Amino acid sequence: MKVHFITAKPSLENEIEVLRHIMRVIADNDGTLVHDWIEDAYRNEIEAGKSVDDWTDIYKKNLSAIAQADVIIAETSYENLGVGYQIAMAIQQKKPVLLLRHEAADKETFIVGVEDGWVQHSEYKDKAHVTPIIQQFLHENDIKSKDMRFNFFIDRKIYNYLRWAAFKTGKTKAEILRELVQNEIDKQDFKP
Amino acid sequence: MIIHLIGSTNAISEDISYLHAINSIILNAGNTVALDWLKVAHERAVAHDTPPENWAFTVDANLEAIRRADTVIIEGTHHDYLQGYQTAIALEHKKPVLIISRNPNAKSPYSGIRHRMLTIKEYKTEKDVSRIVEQFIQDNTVTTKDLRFNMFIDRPIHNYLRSMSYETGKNKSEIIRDLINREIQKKD
Repeated sequence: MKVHFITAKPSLENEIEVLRHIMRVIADNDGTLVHDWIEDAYRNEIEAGKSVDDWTDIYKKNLSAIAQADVIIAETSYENLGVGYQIAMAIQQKKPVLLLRHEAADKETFIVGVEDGWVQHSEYKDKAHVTPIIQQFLHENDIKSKDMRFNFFIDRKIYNYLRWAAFKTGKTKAEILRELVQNEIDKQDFKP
Repeated sequence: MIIHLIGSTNAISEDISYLHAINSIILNAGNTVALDWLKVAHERAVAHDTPPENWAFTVDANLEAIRRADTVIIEGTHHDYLQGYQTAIALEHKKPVLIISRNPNAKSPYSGIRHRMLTIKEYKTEKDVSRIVEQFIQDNTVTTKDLRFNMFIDRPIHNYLRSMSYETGKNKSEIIRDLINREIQKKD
């Protein structure tokens, strides 16, 4: 599963071991980071004390990562404009989002009020506590265990057929299509 | 015009005079603020024993304000989740967004956001704020801008428009605009 991991600079500064642990848990659970930026950012911004020169490049890479990712995991213990922006973009794109916060983090913040069917808020005490939260989130949003939306264009002839078949059978157009595909799968003895 | 003004609640005491200035410019130009939050947020910030904010309510109120607003103005000198989240939502709703800040813009994360509806400006004084905000409002006043209008059409209308478009070389929107203009002229 493709995961985009987001966090703010103060988390890099204060919680790098937690961030590394989160990345290990993602990897151990068959997750792949779409944009593996944490260690580079830690070296450049924290160890070398350099400031970011090109926010446009970061913006583009993050937007691309959100688009590619199946799920988003954000460590949100520290306020950050960029993290807020990315969370909103991910929710708009209907990506499942896990918002992790240290239990001691300030709760007087806008992000704790973000409620959406795609968002899960979780607090953790320490590194060990993070593991089951991430494992469960990844499992619940594993594509293998979820239905998926599929959009496609149909011409008028197919549309007319589907409308007619839906009327005749009392099934929805989507049900008719799923049955057709299932019949084809059965015919070809396909094993997923 | 309805304008949603956004600023940091964490640093409201530092930004309050500028936020009031922006608010006054909006109101004095005959506009309305989508959400009148300044006074309450400032009172909360200066009081010491206020109960925790209901953030779910605040988020909902702000998202509803973005939906109602024609434009969004963000004071971004002190930026946090609130500004980042709402900037993304406003731009996704294709609302013109102005971010103004007293910090050099090149060093701010929002300088990386590339969107045709986003304007980012730096200011030093309240006079700068007036100039920038007034210009932004003027640029985005609905009476001076074209508007998008979506409508459903049935098949006979679609067929008619397609055939007229083919015959005249105009696109379907031009044909509808011509029809409306003719109707307006008829009624003088």
